Amino acid sequence: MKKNTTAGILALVGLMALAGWGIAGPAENPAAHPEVEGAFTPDACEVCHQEVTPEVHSEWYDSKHGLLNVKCFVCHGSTGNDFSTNPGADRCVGCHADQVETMAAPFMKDKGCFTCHPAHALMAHLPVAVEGGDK
Amino acid sequence: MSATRRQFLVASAATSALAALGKPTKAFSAADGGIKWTKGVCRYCGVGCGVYKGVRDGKLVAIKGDKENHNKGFVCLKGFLLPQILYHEDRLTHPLIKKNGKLVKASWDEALDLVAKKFTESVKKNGKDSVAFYGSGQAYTEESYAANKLFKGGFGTNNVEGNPRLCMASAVGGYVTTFGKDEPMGTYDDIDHADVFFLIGSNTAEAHPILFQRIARRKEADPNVKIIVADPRMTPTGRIADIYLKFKPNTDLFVLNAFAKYFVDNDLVDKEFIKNHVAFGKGKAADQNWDAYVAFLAPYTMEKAAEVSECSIEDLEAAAKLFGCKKNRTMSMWTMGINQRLRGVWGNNLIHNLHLITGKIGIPGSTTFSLTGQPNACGGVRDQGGLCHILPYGRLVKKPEHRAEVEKVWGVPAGTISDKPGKHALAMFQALETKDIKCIYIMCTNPGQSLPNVNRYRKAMADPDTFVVVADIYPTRTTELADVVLPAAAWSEKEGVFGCTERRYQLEHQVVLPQGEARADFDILVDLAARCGYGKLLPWKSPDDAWEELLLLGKDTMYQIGGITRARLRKDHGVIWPCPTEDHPGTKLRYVKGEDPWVPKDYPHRIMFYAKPDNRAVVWFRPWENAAEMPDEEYPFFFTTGRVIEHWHTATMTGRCKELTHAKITSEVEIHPDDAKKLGVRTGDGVRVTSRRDSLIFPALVTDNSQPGLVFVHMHDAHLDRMCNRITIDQFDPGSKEPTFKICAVKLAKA
Repeated sequence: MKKNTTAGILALVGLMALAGWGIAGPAENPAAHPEVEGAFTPDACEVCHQEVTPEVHSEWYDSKHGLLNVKCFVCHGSTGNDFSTNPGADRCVGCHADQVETMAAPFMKDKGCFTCHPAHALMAHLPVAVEGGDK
Repeated sequence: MSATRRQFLVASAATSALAALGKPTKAFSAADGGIKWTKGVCRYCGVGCGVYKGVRDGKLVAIKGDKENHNKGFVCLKGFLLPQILYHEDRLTHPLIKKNGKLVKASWDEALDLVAKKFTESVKKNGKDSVAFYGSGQAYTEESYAANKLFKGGFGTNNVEGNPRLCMASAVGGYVTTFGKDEPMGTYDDIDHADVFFLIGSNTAEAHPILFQRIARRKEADPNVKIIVADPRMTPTGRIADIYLKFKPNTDLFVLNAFAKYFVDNDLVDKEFIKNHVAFGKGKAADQNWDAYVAFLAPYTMEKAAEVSECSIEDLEAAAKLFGCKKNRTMSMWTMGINQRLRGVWGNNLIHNLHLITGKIGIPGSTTFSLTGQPNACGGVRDQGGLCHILPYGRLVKKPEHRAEVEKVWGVPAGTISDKPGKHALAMFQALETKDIKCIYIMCTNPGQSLPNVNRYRKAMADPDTFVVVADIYPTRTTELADVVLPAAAWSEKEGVFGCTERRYQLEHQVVLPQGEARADFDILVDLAARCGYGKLLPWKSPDDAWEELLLLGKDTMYQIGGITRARLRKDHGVIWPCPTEDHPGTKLRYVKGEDPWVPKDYPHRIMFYAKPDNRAVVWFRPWENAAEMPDEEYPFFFTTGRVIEHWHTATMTGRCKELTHAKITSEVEIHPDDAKKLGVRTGDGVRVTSRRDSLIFPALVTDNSQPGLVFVHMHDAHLDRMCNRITIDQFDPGSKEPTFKICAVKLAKA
């Protein structure tokens, strides 16, 4: 399913962009996401990022989050002002509230969710001990 | 994509990768000062996931999954983003009345007095059946009940319908005809015990993501678990499939009968179970026998099934073998692919048949389980009796004793409830067209977008000679046609009960105030009843009072909801009926001895289909036949519609959530590469899709997820130029009266 759909969607986005439908050009703030007008394509995030960050896309697609359709915007927000390249734990709390709670513990100081759960693949745990932790 | 955009993305991706290397993230718990969390239920689909709603400074700011509920702490991407649905600038915050063709601001008194005057005058002048209510599987049970009581017990008309007629009526018809009463006998817990899943006509991954997750976890826990997915389109649900039956549209009923024949021919039937628990029927009478069933199945060979469905015989036989294998516990799940069909009830019957002849029912992991699309279609409309032919908790309008029971609880004179069933959903809007219905009150739903062949009914609603009242939280394709628009309080701004797919009732708590002048639908209906002279009929101070009455109506029925008290709902994370007493744990295995309180403890068998007079569920002989509109020379393609994960229904709510609309909203037409080549269409080109109803242009998405001869458009796009229901056909299942959204015929042209 993946390959053929990907090709189709990529073509769709490209053609729509050429037709001036949807993409309004880069935002002024370089840390922000380029502005996207309304809603214009199927799977807009995936479409571009399969091309520009294929490894990142594959890591996500092959992960549990990818299988279960937990898509880019759940963590990264929309392409508007709430967009974040480095999401906080507030984007994880919806499904992982207990785990987010543990981040208040002293041994979690200076650590974030993605210290142990590498972004995009987000596997259950890195095989490393957390210093000061109980495991 | 422009070069500038590409360069930006590459650069920002690099930044992102560096940023992700262990930099601290903001801990929500540390930063959430002052957030108060309250238990609740997700607003969207029929899975009914438990959530906690986080409120700070009087505003809903966050959602997290309830780990003590069935969803074990998980929510889908729509659920996580729920707070946004309350706060879009479009919210309706004051009543509107149409004056000189324009909706203008009005006071509540002015609006409700006008509604009361129009409805009462119409009843006096044109008769009781000149008014109607069209509700929703999204309203709380007490709200739907208030409307049901006002119209059936006050105005005296059974013209009470709701959008569950558009999605679940065929499932109801299937359960009632096969087992005697509506609603499934299993629960989500069956997923954790099944060896084989048979998903047919269901894109579970997108339409019911948390159940899909649970199925995926089951497969992960036991690699021997096998998953069969049967769908004319390859959807994301296929990612966990062991066998994908990509059948030709409308051939599924043939395949289901072929499975049954395979079980018979390969000694996979449970003769003892059939002897004790099964009757056989044809048409409407359960007067057939096993030999007649075997004869009925004779034409449904696997060879013929392969030819008709265009699936390989190897895949079909492998699927049937997995399903029927005696040691396997098999769970079937389906939704609109089966229900929204000319023979939706038959499709449901045929799935039930497979479980009945193999005895794969009433054992954890073996069940026949319909998935529901809305959060309260089951509890609020099906159970509560919010349709034109039914009364609360399994009672029928046409049965005098049932009417009498309800009239007694309602304290109204005998004969108040009409013995004539009202008009089902499409007939109701057709009666609006002919002016047989003059006034309609539409609550919490959007028929101006969601009805099939919608142009026809939009015209009827817009007609100045009909009086249309719409209560909703945002402007919709229906409010724009209304004479009066009432601003409703949203989910979380009011309190009420939701009943989800697995017979689980849950209380949704109010956690924030309604916005502007918005009021809860319950309050609006109670106020309107008083203005219409029915104040004594709806005397309630709060939904709690209405719930007490519902318990009275439901406690001695086969639903046995007497133990689901308000106090218990406030405390528990959902209760599954039958539940006769407050200390009863609820019933996960309905009809099963030792589990279901209706089955006598000394019953000689493990299961008792007590809702049938002879305690026997019926295996119905249901043949395969054509859809209401099949492709032909002039209109050679099947046209089908469905959901995507980002959106829900007519996108009244999800269409106002920025992440979801940025990710996806425009309906494109999925077309197979073979057809695209013939038409000279590439992805991104406009494709004109024309049915006998209308003609629209959608951008093409060329993908072999589709199949030759089939095109798909998602149903959520509210743009007038891409509203898929301008194309669909308004034929319906003659049994369930559910429209056949899933199949009509179209022609295509490059636009």
